[in-house]
Amino acid sequence: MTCQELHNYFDGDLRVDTDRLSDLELAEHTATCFPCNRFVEEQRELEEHLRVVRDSAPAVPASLDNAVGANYRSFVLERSCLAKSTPLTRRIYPRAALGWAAAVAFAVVVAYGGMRLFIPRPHVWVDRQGTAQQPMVPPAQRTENKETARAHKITPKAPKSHGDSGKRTNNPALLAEGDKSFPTRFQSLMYCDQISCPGAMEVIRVQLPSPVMGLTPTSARIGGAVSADILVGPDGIARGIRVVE
Amino acid sequence: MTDRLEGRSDAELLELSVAGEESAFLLLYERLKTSIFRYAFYMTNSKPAAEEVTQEVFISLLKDGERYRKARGDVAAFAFGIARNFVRRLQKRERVYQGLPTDEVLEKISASQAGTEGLSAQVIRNQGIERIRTAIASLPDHYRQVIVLCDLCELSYAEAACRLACAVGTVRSRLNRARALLVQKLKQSKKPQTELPAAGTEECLI
Repeated sequence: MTCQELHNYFDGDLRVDTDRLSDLELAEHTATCFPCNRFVEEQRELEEHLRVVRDSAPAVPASLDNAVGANYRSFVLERSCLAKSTPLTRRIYPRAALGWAAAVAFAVVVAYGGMRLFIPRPHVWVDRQGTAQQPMVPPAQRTENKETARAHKITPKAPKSHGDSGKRTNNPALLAEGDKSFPTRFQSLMYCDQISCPGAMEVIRVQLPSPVMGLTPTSARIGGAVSADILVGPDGIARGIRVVE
Repeated sequence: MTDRLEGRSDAELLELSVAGEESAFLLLYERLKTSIFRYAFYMTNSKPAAEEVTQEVFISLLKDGERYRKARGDVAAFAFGIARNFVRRLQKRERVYQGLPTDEVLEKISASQAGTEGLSAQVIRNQGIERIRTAIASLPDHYRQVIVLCDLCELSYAEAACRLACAVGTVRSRLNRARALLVQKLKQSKKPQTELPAAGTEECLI
């Protein structure tokens, strides 16, 4: 037997291999080889130590058995109570709630982005008279700005009747007639008097698609757009509208 | 009732336990408790800690029993995995308060053993056991695991490999190194303190 072969014995399971120590061959080798003899002695001693530790392991205490049994019964009871309770009172898992909130937020963002991308917006030219935004108005409509300039800074009077105030009408005839309390041919969009509309008002010219106004596009309305003047209060809310022919 | 369940596998018992059958749970507990308790005891070197870990393991088995997959191993391995995690958690928690036993501690135990010739054999034996346990507890975690599983819990190499999720060869080599390290530690702890400590004269006067 070589030293390597002897060491190989102990690479395996100690419980099995220590039985082989009685082999004559092993005994002969250990008698002549001092390091192997010492190694075998150490292994024997270790096996003895481990056996002592193994045997000295404490038994599972009865109190633990009782505790585990009690735990089981309370677990079953708790679960049955939970099953009886309504879904609203059930446990809410914070992670799941957070996940759902993130998913909803993501869906909202995607929906908003989709709307911005795929729903076309009408081309609107805004003419803020007296401001630096005049280049936005198409040149063809510049002449009409003089008329709208007159309507600028007009303090509106209280309308006589506002039965239809706040309602938009699609009838061009009504739009043309307008409310008499407003400057030239303006149609009232909401109730307006000295108290509710204090201060100067502003006229803004916009171009809207003719279907929005309830008009059919004609040759005069290029691209089916209609120009309209919007009377805007100092609070930014539109008070009246008129179609510009 | 228990006779009816006796022939059932651990997996079936776990399923019945989760469904609410107490006798199935108690039978499963009887089958697994010793190995789990011993493992926890050898790993923590503390009986109260072993009891705590064993309790936690069985509570977790009930709570997470539905997550058990038969294809990934037997219930004992599943329970052992839970126990291992609890032991680690416990050690991490306890590490704040106490360190692992060092060689100095072993030497102290050895010194106290050397001076107890007059005491009964039982006390000496207990001290010897404590010395070995402390030596095992001072091993690095991966070596301690194999010593505990193969030499103290008496699992086969294949079972230990399954529990530790590694190859049988890895278990064999780790065990070999762990035994060598343990022999070395025990040898060191056995050394008698021949030299007097370099302290003042007060120790000599006592």
